[in-house]
Amino acid sequence: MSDIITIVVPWFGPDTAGGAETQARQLAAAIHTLGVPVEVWTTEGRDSFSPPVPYYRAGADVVDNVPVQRFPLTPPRPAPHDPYIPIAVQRVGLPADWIDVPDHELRLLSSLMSSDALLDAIAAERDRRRFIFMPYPFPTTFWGTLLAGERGYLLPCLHDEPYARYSTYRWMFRHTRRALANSPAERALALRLYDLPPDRVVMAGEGIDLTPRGDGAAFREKHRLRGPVLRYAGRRDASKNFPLLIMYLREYWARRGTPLTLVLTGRDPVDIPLPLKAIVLDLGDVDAQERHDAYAAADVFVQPSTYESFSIVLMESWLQGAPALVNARCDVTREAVETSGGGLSFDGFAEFAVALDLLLENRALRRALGARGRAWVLENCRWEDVARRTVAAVMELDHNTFAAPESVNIQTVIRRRTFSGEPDH
Amino acid sequence: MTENRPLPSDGAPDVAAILEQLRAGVRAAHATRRQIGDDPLQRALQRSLDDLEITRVVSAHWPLTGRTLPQKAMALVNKVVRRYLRWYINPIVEQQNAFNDAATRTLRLLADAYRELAHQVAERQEADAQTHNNGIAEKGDDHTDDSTAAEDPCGGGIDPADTPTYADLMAQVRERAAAEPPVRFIELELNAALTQAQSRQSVTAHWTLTGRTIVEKMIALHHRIVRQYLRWLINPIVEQQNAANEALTAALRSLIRIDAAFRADVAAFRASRQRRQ
Repeated sequence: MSDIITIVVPWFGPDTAGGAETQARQLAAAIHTLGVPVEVWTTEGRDSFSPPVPYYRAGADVVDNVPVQRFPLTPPRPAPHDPYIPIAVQRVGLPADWIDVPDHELRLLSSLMSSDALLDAIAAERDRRRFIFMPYPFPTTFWGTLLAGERGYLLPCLHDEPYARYSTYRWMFRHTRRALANSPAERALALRLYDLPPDRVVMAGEGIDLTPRGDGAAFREKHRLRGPVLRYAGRRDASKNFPLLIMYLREYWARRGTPLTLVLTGRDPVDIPLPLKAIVLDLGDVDAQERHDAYAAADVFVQPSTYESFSIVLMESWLQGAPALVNARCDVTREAVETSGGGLSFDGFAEFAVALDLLLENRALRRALGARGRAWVLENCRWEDVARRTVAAVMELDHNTFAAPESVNIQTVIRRRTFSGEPDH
Repeated sequence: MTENRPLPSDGAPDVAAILEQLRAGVRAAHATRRQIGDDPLQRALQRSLDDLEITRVVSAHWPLTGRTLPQKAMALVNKVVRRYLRWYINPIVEQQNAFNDAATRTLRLLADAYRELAHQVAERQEADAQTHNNGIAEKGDDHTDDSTAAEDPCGGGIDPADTPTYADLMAQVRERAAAEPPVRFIELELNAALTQAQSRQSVTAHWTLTGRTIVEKMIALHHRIVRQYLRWLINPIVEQQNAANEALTAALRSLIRIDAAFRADVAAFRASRQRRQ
């Protein structure tokens, strides 16, 4: 039997929100569509927006035709607590080259949700599977890669954030067989932060669903929107620079007097001061069609975050033809805007205000930039291509051979490799 | 933090603009000092902030002396006990000092924020009064405007097939941005300071006590036993202090939210004036 690609992610399911979780779900479905055996191992938790308690039932499930195994969750340990090393790792023993990890780094790991049962299963099944662990900071990933050894692959969704510099994560990246990057900038970051040889981080990319069609006119009509519409989607907290967006927008409004509307969607609560409700419309958790309608209605999509490895919401907004205004301090989104020509970037309020002026005063420019963004997404974000690159990287196949779907049967290639006694790596 | 740093498109710093920003900063500092000097409430606030600066650092090492021989003997015993217990007491005091430092910084920033907001309001009132005195007829409120006043629906002469590149557009953005008046988003600093205070508000008396060598391990075991015994004394003190820290952080959080609401009010007012002009 060929190896089963097993995606390990802390949260997974139909009600689960979050960038990495959405990526896990769509990647699993895309790999399954290719005919490659794939499973998902996860916990009973819902997502990072919800309390760390069981939400889904533990055991076997099927999501989008992909087999899913949910393990009982191990709740985070609130501070103060001693550094914790899971039983599965203690049983196997720490590797000989284990470093002297500072306590606070181990404490960070134990303060995040995990599953000891899942880690036990990884230890037990490590010879029969190839694991893709995502995203990088969680204990399921850190301890999972340690247990999986040469059969562990990282899909890190790495951001340029302080704890990316922790010695634990440096150790993990340097001891994992290979990492899969969502964007060239994320790959460059991983190579730079962890001094990795170039072949250790592969650009597999990320996809989005390219089928949705938003109806901007209907959305404007429904919500009685007049004047320029700006759009933000995603987590509404400081980690995504959401407060910065609100401050910039407030100052822009005060200086220009432009009667604009910022349309927000998302499940996490948001605290908007009452006077700003005149320019902020928070729709909360909406269905997928309304989300896409809101993108289509937008004159400008604003992405202030600097912690991105891909930015699904940026790609979704481009798909609906909205030009983007992104934070120049985020290599990932700035690079996407530079490459696609689908928008502008800002570094500080003055550039934010002027870029917004430039976009809002010229409809043809907005349309042209939006069209460029859409064309770029259609060319670069096809899940089938991403799934092929991912399988090729994890199964260590020749990507050029594997990338030609008409001429190669994937199952045959995998079986041939397995039966030939060829070493894994 | 001033957001706008002038940088012309060729990348060389614009010395004149930097000098102007420095002068503006000095003028603002002078204005603030004058304002504090004039206003008794501001003077009282400044005195409290100065007191806070002096008293925020807690020390477990005040002088222990005595005049008589028994007092001196007692002081010596106390010194020995204090020195013996410093492994236990000092880390607790240091944690509290870290919180005090963050909370004090947040309070100072809040005071800055209030002054800056008052300055904004005063400026608006002055501008309003001037407009009124000049008898300038105001246009009606433009709430029904469907789009930005400056929008050119035909595309401002840009042919979509010949849209400028990202680099060209960004050169335009940078050039025009140099003329945008500077702004300080004090809330960014406030939120960062509050996050620091929140992360330090819980003082703990129960950190890990371990050692590597046999001797260190023996000392750690001894410390654990002493700490276990003394918890009747230390834990209630720490718990009371933590309750106070938590309450102080909550108050700071509320004040920051109120500040944000006031800023939104002022922004709405400025926006409405801007539309009328």
